[in-house]
Amino acid sequence: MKSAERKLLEKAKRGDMDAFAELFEPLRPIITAVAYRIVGANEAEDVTMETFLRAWQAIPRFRATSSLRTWTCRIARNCCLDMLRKSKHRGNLVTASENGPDWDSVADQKADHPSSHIIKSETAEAVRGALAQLPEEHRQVMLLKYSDNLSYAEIAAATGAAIGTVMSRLYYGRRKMHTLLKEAGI
Amino acid sequence: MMTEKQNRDEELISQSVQTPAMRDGDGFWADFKAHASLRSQDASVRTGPSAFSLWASGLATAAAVLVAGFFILSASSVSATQLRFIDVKSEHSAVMILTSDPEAGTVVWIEGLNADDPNGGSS
Repeated sequence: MKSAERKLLEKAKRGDMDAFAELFEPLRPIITAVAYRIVGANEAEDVTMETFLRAWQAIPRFRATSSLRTWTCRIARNCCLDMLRKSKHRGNLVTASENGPDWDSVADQKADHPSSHIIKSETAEAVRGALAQLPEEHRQVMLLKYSDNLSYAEIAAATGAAIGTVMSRLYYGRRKMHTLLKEAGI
Repeated sequence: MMTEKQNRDEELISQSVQTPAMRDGDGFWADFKAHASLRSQDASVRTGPSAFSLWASGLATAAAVLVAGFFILSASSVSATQLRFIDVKSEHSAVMILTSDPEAGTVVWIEGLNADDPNGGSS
């Protein structure tokens, strides 16, 4: 951790919300991505907010035994699980896994979007089709890794799987993707 | 060759799948502050005893109990122990045991100690 971040961390631990916001703003994309991949588009924003609120409460106990990113990913996972439990209880569970990735609605949101390089073509359709055919746990780690750029440790924290399991899921996911894309002539 | 294909597949994924859209930072953190002000932060464990110090004090207590137990057991197991009293007719203010060998001991008693005397009184 850089010295500037360490200073922000100490301030955040003492209750400085501005320091907290400055420290955690760079983590917002990955936390949003984790929430989006696990609970789906509808609940992702609420889960992201809840994640940072819990991080705010727990930050005085953060001891830097893991990176701040990994620590926050773990909180995000817990928030996702709580959200899924609540939704299940209410009987309106629509998760990313059940609903399928919400490709179209996300693709429409072009404004201030980081990935404006997105390709809209038959190739992209085929890739999304192949991803949709992967088992949920494989698709999740593939997207977190190759679309959202999370590290193995962060994916492990976000999914609750061991790092070895993450690597294995990526391996099988990649292999399956390769076969599917080959079949599609890509 | 396989790595090249894998890299291409990974690149295709990143190009074909949108990362989720996000709210603007200012709006998000303004909302965050409004909600966070209603929640209190956890107490810092740094102000209380650390897990290590709790563990160490527990260990020290257990060790002290063990040592005391052994001492009591060893003292009570000597059945031939005798207490001897020696009366020393001397006015004194304090007594100190300097040595306590198995065969003999040295006891010092101090006479005429006067705490008010800056020189410590006479002995």
